[in-house]
Amino acid sequence: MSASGTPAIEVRGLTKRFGQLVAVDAIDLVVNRGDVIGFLGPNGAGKTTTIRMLLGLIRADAGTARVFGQDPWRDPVEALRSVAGFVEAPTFYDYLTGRMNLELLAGLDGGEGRTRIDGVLDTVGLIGREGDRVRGYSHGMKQRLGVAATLLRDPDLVILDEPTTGLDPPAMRDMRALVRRLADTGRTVLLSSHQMNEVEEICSRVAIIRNGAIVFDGGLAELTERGARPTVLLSTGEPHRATVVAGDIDGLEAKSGDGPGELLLSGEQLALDRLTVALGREGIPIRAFVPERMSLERAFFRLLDDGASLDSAATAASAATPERSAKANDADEHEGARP
Amino acid sequence: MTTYLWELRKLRHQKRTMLGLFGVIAPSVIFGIDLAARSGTPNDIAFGPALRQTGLAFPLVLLFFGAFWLFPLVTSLVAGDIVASEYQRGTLKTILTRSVGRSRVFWSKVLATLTYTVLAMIVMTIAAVIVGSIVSGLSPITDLSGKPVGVGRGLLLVFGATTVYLIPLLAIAAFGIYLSTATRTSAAAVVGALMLTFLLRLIEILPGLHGVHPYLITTQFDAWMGLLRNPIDWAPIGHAAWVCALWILPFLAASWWTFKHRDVTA
Repeated sequence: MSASGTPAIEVRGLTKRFGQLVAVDAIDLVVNRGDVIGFLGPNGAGKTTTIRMLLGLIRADAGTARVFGQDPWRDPVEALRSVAGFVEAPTFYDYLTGRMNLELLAGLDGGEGRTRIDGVLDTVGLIGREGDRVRGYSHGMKQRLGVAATLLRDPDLVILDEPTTGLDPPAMRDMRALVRRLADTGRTVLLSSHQMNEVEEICSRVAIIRNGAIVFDGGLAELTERGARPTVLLSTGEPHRATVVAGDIDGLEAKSGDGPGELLLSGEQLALDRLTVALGREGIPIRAFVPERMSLERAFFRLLDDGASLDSAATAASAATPERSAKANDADEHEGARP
Repeated sequence: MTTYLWELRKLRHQKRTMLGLFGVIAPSVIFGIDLAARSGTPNDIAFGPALRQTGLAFPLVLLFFGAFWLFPLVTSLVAGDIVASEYQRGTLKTILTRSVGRSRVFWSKVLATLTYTVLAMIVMTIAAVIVGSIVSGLSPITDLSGKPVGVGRGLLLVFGATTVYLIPLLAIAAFGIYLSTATRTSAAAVVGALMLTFLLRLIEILPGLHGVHPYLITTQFDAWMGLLRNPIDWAPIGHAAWVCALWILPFLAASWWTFKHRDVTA
């Protein structure tokens, strides 16, 4: 086991090309122990390629990847000793039963996990079906078996690549709860996803990759608050009069909210303060005055649509040059085209 | 050891393994039925005339027939699939992210293929002796030098012949493993290994290429006959061993190198 100060993941200038295509372009990323980080990006942005490099499955063309201080390509056994998870969909021997697959993996790990098989099957809700061949499993059951295989090692670092993709809503909810529980146990979690609400629900930090480059790396709150004007939801018994009052205040923008008597007001904090005073003065009742947080989804699309403007403030961001964007776009297609 | 044992367990649960074992048992039964249904014997091959005299002749005749394509096919069925199927199922990433290095996975697969091939030939020999004994009984056999060999020694020589026969078969297996690793496509590797057998057989019958005949894998399928001479002629057996080693080593080295260094993108 490495020294406790070593980050769980430390990536410097990591680059991967497929022929002429640059799938991952000199990214830096540090994930400290205990971090629960969402790894976001559109399909083909380079998430999976990065994870494969972290798991020692593909070799980087440049830069370094360290997992608990070890090089996963040179010495995967040592680097991945306390790492588990899956990249893309979890895969199993479909001609073996679910239990046999877990026995096999426990065996490859040295046998320790064998005593945990019943427990992890119970955790993922596969008790009763563990004796069936994986061939007969639904997509959701395979995903759950993937989590079971992950838990078998009792890992310090859990890497999950889109664990809820293709699941129906109840299965998705169960899977999220499962990942949430993993995160709550103090494990380091890297959750790759393009499901914003999932990341918002589970992670405290996000790294966003676009065209093979990290365009944001920081706290979830930092991302959702950055660049957005403060917005509040006002609920009042007199929305029409409130709209008129708001219209008289400089720099304040008012829109109807979703519910009756609701207004969405955006502006600088000072303008919002003035509004509350003015509403009081006019005798307009305030039922609720709730600051609205920008959703991760909105922040994410803002970042993707308007990347360059936000890039400048981001920790690891550097504005994408036209040349790099073109190469990375090609790489996206390449990655997306792979089965 | 665990990795190797799991490779064997995986093979045991795959249909192609059972198909391969069926492939080595079925010819004995077909031969038995044929002999029961007609008179006479195939006189143009070694031990053909002895088929009606002793069950010991059965496995020896089968070694001769099986060398054309059946036993190479049975071998390549597993050898060509053992690495490629992991790529195709996407399971390589599942096992390579556990506490097991690539080299260990690879050599376990090689060992499992070898075990399967040996097992298939032992099953073939046992099935042939059993069917042969039912059809023709178990009597002494006349060796290639025209001398009689008792049942006990005869059985020993029959299993010895199978062992010698395994040498070129393992060379075919090594080529199957190479194709399995290089092409990552099971069907291409299985067919490719069989194609090599056919091509070498073709070269064997071309007189202009006489000079290379002693160095072909397929030529070594006759080496076992040295055991059935009196005294035993070890020369072809030794020759088969080093010739096949020269085929096996580069195939396995290239396969290992590819397996160890290639990106796993599936």
